[in-house]
Amino acid sequence: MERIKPSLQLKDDIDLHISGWIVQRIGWVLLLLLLIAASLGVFGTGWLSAGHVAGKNGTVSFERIARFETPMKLVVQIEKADGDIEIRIPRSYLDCMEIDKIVPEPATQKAAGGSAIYTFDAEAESTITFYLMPESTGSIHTELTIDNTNFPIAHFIFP
Amino acid sequence: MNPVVRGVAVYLFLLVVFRIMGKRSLSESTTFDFVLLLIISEVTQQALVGQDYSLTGAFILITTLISLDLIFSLIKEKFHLFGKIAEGVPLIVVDQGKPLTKRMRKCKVSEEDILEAARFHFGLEKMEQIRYAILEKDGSISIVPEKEKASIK
Repeated sequence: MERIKPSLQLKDDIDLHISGWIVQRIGWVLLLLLLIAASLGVFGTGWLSAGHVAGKNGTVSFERIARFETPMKLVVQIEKADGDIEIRIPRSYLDCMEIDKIVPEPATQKAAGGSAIYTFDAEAESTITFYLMPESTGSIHTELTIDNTNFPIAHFIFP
Repeated sequence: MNPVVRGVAVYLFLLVVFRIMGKRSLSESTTFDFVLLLIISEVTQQALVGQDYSLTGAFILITTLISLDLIFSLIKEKFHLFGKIAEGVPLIVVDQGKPLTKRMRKCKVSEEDILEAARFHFGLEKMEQIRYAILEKDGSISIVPEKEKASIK
């Protein structure tokens, strides 16, 4: 690097600039890593954040990683339904997760035993989508009960 | 989320990102930089406000941002090194009419940028007419003309 002695009343602090440029290069690498991580879904809505839980009568797909107040989906697929489908969601989960919409709409819904219970008219193969909005940050663990089978679900919500 | 936390987080993140990007990014010199600043301000606005459209929320945010600025200026006054790191220091890029190319490459300043500043401020025509060109803290280029050569018609 060129070192000069200017007649200007200005301190030519080139050493500080050199260390600054090194930090800048490290920063560029970190920005690139952040971009790659975000594209892969480290911060939600991507390949790494997709979660699935399979049970004996169906599967639940959800976002393992999501962001605060950013809409996400939880999809329940029931392969063989015996009569109506009953989905129990613990109250503690609904305290941190707002349900914006359920498609199709449940035939009945009630609160009992610390859970919200939704029942749906079943067909041979059903897909039920919950549109959710995280209302708190950090780890959220719960168990959905679908026709007496438990599906453990965990999210990490970024601020 | 608490507006104070949001304000502090956004302020610090932007400060770090702009320092990483380098000085020239803030000078709005090209269309690209202008578009970038336009989009960033829009995204920042959403992150700052979130779903809080209340007057109180806006007042809290404004107070937070102004307080942060005040705190940083007090720290800068007390610790000069902090100011140098947070805001950078001026860098001489032309010395006695000679472009210091290594420095210019590192801080993404081209000879055209320097000549443009020389034309704009002093109507200079050539690099030899520039005694010093300095990349200032805010990303602008200031020019000290060579006295005798500047007066040559």
